[in-house]
Amino acid sequence: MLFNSIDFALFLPIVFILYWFVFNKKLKYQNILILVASYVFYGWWDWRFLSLLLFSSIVDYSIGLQMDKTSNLKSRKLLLFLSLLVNLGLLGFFKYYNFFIDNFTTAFTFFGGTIQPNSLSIILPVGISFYTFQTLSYTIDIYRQKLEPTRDFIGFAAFVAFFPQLVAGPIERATNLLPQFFKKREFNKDEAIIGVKQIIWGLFKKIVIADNCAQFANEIFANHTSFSSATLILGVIYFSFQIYCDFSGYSDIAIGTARLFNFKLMVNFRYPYFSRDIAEFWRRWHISLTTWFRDYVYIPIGGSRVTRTKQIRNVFIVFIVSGFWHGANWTFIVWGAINALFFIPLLLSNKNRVNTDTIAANSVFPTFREITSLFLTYCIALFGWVFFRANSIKTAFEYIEGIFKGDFSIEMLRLERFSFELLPLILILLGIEWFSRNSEFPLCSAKPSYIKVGVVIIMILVFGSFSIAQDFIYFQF
Amino acid sequence: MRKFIKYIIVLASILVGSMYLLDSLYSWVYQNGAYRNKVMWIHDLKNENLDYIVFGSSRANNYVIPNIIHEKTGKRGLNLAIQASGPLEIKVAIKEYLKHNYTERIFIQVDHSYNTEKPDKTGQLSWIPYMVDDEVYENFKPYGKEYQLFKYLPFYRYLMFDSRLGYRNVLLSSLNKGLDYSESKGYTESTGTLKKDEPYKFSLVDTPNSHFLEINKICNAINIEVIYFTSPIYRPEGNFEIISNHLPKYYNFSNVINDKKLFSDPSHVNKKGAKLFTEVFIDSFFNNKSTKE
Repeated sequence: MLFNSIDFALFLPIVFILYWFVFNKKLKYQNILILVASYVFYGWWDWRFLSLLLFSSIVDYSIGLQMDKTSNLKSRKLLLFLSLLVNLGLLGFFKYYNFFIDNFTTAFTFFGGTIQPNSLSIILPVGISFYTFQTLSYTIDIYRQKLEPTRDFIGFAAFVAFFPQLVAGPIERATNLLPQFFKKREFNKDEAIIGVKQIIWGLFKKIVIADNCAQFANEIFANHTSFSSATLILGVIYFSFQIYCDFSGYSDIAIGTARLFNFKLMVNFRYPYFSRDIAEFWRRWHISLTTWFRDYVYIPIGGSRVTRTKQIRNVFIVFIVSGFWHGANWTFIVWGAINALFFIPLLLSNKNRVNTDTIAANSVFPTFREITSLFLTYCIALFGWVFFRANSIKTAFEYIEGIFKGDFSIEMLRLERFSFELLPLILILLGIEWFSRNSEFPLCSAKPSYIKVGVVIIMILVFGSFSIAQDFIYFQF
Repeated sequence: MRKFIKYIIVLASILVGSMYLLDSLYSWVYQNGAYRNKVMWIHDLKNENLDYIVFGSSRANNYVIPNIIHEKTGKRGLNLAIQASGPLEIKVAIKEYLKHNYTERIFIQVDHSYNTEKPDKTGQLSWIPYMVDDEVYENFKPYGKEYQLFKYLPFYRYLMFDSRLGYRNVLLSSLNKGLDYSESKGYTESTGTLKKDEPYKFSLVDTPNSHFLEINKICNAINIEVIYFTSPIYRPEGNFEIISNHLPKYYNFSNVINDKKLFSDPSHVNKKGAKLFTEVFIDSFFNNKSTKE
């Protein structure tokens, strides 16, 4: 079920009413409702994959309980290994099987061998990368004795399948989300109003900015060889806003929806294009994934408390794995490596944690130096996005080569359909975000503020792309 | 909870109110703004009494040049063919024209879309803003429940076709950036030259089309002569002859132009081709020569 669909527009009020008016007597009933609603939400796409979700929940729930029963480190390690094997095994099979088979075949053929590739027609279960990491955080935190295992299977299964963030995050830590399933939840008017506003803001980003940019970016990337340098630059700019507004819009809707049920999910984006260096960008972009990799990969392999050489290795590992998490394609691996390359100089010069506050925190406008930093960081991000969006490494290089051709006629802008609204819309978005950069999202206040919300609703109706609705990009990850 | 429900009700009212107001605004622009498509023009035509009107799809729109006909024969007429129109959209266009105007003859271009009864996905677009009009709506109503939503749910039709009927068109129309049909009398040029050299294949089923039957009935009742024709195609391979089994005055010109340079694609002539075809059209219908069916 898509957040921007009629189905969800009917589903959400029904669940809301049942949750607060019918099942509000006992916490257990509310958790059962959430579990059932989440399975309906997921099964709407393909009910067959519910078995995977249930299987993951049973395995990690059982492993958590077993870990609690033993203090023997070896046994605990073995149980953790089993959890990793099952979860990553499923993820590896569904997401990476064909990638490894194809690359193995290519390598074998390159060295003169003959092999019959055995690719399978595998459907990638939506959200598997997200809920796998979420359940892994549970077993890892129990192993580290940061979390007590739960004995309430319903609550645990509801945590794994919690529908607002099931298919595209934020990837919640068990330490944050799971305890919320076991605390009495009462309706909170302020949180609910903020939630509704966040949903509307998320829809604005998705339907107005992302889906409009997508039409343009898709066309330019699909026909990149026939466009001028200026158009190619525009193409990647449009993609940068497509992916930002698509994914952060989804996160806003997810967090807003959770708020309606009095759940607090972690912030996933903090205005990433207002970053002054690439390290800050990664503290503001897909925060739930970045911090997951930091806590469960980077720090366990030594983090920055090792020799310089090992620091560099660790950064590369984290960025490449993070890139690979996005999809079974070399483009994502190169995208990760590019970000690592830009991150390492900051790390080596101890400047990776210089910009930890909000830009121009005490003034309305940034300084010239800050503008320069913003611009350079954005350009680095754009360079990476070319690889992220391209279908192959070859295409990415062709695209970059095209950018440097030096032909600056903007042919795409001559098309009437696209000629005058997209860039101003992006500037409006940036303006709104700039003046809201100290709050979680632009409409974030418990005051009803009908005029502001009304304006956003009208903008969605007028400027939204409804006829060519695009799927959420992160569903494919 | 009560305050929250009140908040939701207010927001829902804002949503519904905005949809209603935007619908009224967009519809007003489509009624009064500069023409962004030919339907807007047809809708505005009043008290015309012309010698002939050409209806059809782009295969009539790009083929018949009324100015040449007027120059050579003195006959006054319009090319009211609309891109992607199928039989249903042609019927609606004729009905809309005849509401406030008259003509002695109607020429209708028919081709491989002859068997189509349903609305054309692209051809219907220009009619969507007028779906609130009962007479327009009744024509589309049998073809899906969505048309009910177009008629009764304010702004829904503009949302569903935002890229073609949305604010871009409305803004351009209200800024007077429209299309001027008065000079060309409705003819639109198709540019380019045909590159591929492949036969254009199609196969028609030998059945009547209800929309053309209805057009015949309407026109017979008010004494308007209806003539059907098929305009030229580059290397046609099909059975247009079956159309004459169902349409009494049918002329097949599909083979009259064979020069590749006169086509912009296999089913559309360029300006040179249109000039040549208009000569054929004049010879066949305006020079009092006998014509072969």
